[in-house]
Amino acid sequence: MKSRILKIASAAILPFILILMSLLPVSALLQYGYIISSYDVDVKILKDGTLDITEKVKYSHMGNSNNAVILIDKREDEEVEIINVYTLKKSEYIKCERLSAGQWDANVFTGTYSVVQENDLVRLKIYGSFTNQKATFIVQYKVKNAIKRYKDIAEYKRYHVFRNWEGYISNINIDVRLPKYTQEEDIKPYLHGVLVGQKNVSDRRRISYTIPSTVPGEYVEARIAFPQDMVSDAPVAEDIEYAPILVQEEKEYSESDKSDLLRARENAAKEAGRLAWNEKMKKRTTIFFVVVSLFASYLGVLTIIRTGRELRSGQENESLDLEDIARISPPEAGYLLKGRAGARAFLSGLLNLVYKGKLDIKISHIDGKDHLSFTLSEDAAKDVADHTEKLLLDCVSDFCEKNGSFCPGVFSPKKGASDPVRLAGYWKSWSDSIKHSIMSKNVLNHSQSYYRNLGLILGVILFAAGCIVPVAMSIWSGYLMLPVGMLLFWYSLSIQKRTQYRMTRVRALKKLRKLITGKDFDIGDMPGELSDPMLLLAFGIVLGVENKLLDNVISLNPGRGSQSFTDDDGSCEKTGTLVYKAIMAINDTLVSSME
Amino acid sequence: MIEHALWMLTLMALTAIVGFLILKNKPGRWWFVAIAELALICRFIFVFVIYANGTEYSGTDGLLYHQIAKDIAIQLQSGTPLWKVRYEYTWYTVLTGIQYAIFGVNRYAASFVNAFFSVLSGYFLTGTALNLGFSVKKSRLIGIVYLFIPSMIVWTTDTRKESMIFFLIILIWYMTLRVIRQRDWSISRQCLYILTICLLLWLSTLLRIYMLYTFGGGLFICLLFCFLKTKRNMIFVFLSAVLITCCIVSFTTVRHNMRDYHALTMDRSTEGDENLDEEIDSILNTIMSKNIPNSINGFLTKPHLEEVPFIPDIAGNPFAITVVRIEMILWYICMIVSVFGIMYALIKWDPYLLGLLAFIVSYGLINALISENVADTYYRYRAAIVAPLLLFADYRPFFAKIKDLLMTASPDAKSGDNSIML
Repeated sequence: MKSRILKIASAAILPFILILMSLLPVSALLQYGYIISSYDVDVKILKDGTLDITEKVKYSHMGNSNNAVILIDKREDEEVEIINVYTLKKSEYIKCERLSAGQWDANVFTGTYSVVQENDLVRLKIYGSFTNQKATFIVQYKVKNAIKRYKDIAEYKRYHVFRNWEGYISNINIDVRLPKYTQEEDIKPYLHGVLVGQKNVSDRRRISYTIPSTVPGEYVEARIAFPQDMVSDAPVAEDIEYAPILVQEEKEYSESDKSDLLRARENAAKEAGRLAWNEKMKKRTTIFFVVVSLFASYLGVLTIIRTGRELRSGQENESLDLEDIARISPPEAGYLLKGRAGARAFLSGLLNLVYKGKLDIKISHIDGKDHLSFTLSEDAAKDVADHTEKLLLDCVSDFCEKNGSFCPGVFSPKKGASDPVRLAGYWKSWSDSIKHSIMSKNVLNHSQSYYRNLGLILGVILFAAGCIVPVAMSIWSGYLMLPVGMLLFWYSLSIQKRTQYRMTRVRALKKLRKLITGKDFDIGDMPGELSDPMLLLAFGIVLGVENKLLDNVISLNPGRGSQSFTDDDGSCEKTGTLVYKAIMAINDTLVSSME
Repeated sequence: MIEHALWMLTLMALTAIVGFLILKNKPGRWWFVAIAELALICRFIFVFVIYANGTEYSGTDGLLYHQIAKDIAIQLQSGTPLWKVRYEYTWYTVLTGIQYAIFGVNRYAASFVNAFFSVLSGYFLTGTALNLGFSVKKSRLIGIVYLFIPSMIVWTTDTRKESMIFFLIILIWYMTLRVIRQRDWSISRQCLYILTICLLLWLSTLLRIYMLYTFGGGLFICLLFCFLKTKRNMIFVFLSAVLITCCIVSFTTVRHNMRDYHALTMDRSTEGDENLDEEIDSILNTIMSKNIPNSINGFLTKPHLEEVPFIPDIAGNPFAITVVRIEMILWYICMIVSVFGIMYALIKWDPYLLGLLAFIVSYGLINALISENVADTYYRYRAAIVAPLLLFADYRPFFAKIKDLLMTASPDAKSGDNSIML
């Protein structure tokens, strides 16, 4: 049965993890590279052939980068001078500072830019604090010697979008204004690099280009031929008739193979299709995992409820009164209360043996300090003790042989000391024995074991899914599985704390504690064996009320060995301290040894 | 070049000495120190690669810090006392400035020192694993993985503050573990450790302003559970010292440095302390504007595999892209494996590991909420939790425990652990 559950669990967990791992990339942002939603270029051609350009670029996605890159065309003999860069912040344009080598005091994250001159372009990098990967920039710059003046015409020729610029741009508007008015038929605009785009001449000096969009692989090159006398202050580049050459070049371009541009569009369409499909799949996967997360959480809660019901229905009602408490040994009582046998249980076990007459107790003066000390009594017979008690007697016997008595209070967790290690060894065996003794009585039935194992496996799966699913899928509902999984796991893990066997005993022990801490407590009223001060003290230690017993009860009601607890003046105040000291010393020794 | 060689040889010798001191009496320490030296040499080689075009041109943050450190060195050399030195961004620049003032301006040397601190972090991480009771083999593996993570080599070699941050994180947790576990130490020695940890908390705040709260939260959880478990007075003193340090540093260093903290997206249109509330509002607005599950995804998993070629620093470098992709896959596996390590820590209810977990969660959340949503920023900031997470990256104890629980007729949840004895 258990091996079957294990097989099912491993068969369920492994594919689950593999599926989740494969889903990790799905949660990625589906679009890469820059996306520009609007790109307006305003070019003024001056008489000396200089261009005065203002570009307004609106990024709808910054390509997961913390800076925007704007490429500026720079041809031979041209000089590019950046005048101003602005960034839009809170609906207001803020002027950016130029970051140059050695200028380290500028805050790079509040609107700065750097300029890198490359062979045929200028790379402008703008830094800032951008929200949701959106930003708008205005760049003003001048390009000197940009107009080529020939004998017959002048030529404006610039890349506004580079071929290797791996981004998407929509709504490109380029507006070029000539220095003077002229006949519209003397102005010849050309557009290269895109299959769809319009060019228009208006107002006898304005040339407008409108391109709906570009995709990676496309480019935008504007070329304008206009009368050379319009740039009369510009130097002549070459003293040749350039118009025929230009016409020939344009003819060649128009007749050239534009399959690369078609391919770029096809690729972009495919990419758009892939992105749309990814987006669709992401939505579906998200919905699927939201539903799965909620359902799995519901299933987890349901399992807790069902397990609880199984626990309640599967046990016969058992009652345990105060007089029955003595049937449990004090260390067992400690285990039932805390779920483990620690220092208090250990000391209570020793006192229980004093009560049974197998150990003697007294206050010894060691190294100038008082300590509780235990020795084997004359009538201690190991063969009549049960296994757990025998282990304690072995421990006391061992230390008595070496030191004359067993004084728990003298232990300290010093490195290299052998006594703490020996004590921890005895404690381990004794604690295991107590545990097995309790477990053999506090047994789960078949159905309870099934739900417990189911809860453990489901708890692990839910917890793991609660860690992985919400991160991988970016969904809130996934986090619900985390606490539900943890709760289910803990509930199943500590199921034996909720059995009828334990609950009845814990109830009785709590009743005893309440009785002891009550104002009218009298040991004489205690039923049966509990009226013995030593046994009661043993229970008092595991219940954490030993001081109350020592102060008010035991000194007035001497029983076997209890006279050892009273001082010369009959007070138990110091003894309470000694008991506490012994508990702490044992605890420190055990914790230290375990660590 | 002779100067560089001297620096490298000195640091290599120091690495060996410190390695033998930290791993004293531990088996296989010769072998581990040799591996650490190799990691140091790898970093030295990388320094020469990144500065091939000159130390005054390479990098962004690293270059800025180098420039500021030069300015600080000039101030120090002109007689300005250390506490009056004007510096920008982070206290790391002061440290580098002191080095420049003493030994002369040399960005290579600053990088070598960073590499040295990075290797020291590897030692302390291994030491922490050993003190946690991990096997020698597992502890060494954790240290070696940490030393050879490619991105870690990159972040800790440039003149960035990352190396120092990672070192402080690992050192603070290492010292905390020592105080918790070494019960036989004298009170004065324990107090000295506690005071040093408090001092390191302040220094880490000067490096990254929110580190105080991530450390504060983690140490609080760790020490609180530890005190409840052991009832040791010294743990209570430690806990109180950490809380007092957090309060004092909050009202002094944090308040003072809040405005100038460059990694926070703040409104700097106004100045003065009276606008601190506006700045906090600004941070809250940043947090509110974020899709939090997306941000957590970003912090833990970016750069996603298909995003890697778009990281500006490695774009067009197929080797670097492949290395980063492999590292990312290994990181995903590490995170998934750590889920089971975390569950095991929760079952054991080990105060130290719980505190470490609280530190990882708080650091992750703060960064997810306030960092810019950029893959390479997340990548770099996340590196700080790699070392602590490596301590959880083992699924075997958990599955062994589960198997034991399922196969045993009368299982006990806490058998074999070191839970509360009382």
